Amino acid sequence: MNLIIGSVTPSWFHGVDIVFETFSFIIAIFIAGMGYKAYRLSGRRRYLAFAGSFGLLALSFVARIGAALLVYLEVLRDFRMVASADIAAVEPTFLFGRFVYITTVFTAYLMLVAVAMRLEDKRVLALMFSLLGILAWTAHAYPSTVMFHLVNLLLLVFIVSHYIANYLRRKTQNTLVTLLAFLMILFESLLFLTSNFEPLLYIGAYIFRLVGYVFLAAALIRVIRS
Amino acid sequence: MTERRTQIQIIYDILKAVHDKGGTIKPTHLLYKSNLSHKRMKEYVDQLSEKNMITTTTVKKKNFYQLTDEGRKFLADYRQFAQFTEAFGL
Repeated sequence: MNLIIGSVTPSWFHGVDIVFETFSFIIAIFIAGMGYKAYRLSGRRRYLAFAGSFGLLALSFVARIGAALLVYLEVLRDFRMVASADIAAVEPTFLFGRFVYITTVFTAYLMLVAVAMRLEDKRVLALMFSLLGILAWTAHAYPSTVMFHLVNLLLLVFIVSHYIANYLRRKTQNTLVTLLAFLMILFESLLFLTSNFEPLLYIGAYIFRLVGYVFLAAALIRVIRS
Repeated sequence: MTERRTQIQIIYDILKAVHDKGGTIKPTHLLYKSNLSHKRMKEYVDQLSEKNMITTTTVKKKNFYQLTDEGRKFLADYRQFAQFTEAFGL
């Protein structure tokens, strides 16, 4: 278990990351809700896919919060000299949470790519999601998180390119705020990727994510107040 | 080249035209403001009446279209929708 948790997270950060994840979860839920409302109004499936992608991101945060809580509670118990068999018992649950996290994040980002690129051909979508399923399984089986963050980074590059084009098409505060949000999330992914070499970058990645979701919250508030 | 308006945009344009005239508009003014043929405008007006977004009133033998609370709610929802669409490039 320590191999899983102790690899990159500094001990003083245990618990703080859960607060960050909870904030991201709340924002993702609100964006999903807004997307669904837009779908109800317009009837366009694009909005439903967008709502679904943020719904999946919210689910991924729940999986991560659950897995992190499980690990931290076990770490605390570990200090009280609990039998190692107890710790081993929670490992399958942790691994399940990790798998759910990987799968939901991949699916959410691929859905955002499909929405951004206006992909509607069902055969192309079926192929992309099948390949993604294989990638998710490989990333889960791979002990390091490099594979997971590499795929995320690739998907986010496509998402950010869409938001750059969106900003260049309509130079408004709304489009700028959303572009900045996804840029921060892209940097988050880049820092997570490199955090295998420098643990402090792991904290930096969380801060970038927090800033990204603050920007998303700002975009959402602007929409609601319009 | 200008893009074709979607159905939801046309509904918004009709309701906004009524709203901008203080909530009541003559059919001829609406025809001009909505930029639709008479037949198409009538179809939309019937549809909006069915959804209780506008009502038809008669004053001194002249017909007027009047915006309802439901219509005002749609206008507010559409503004949010438009901002959301713009912000997230949808």
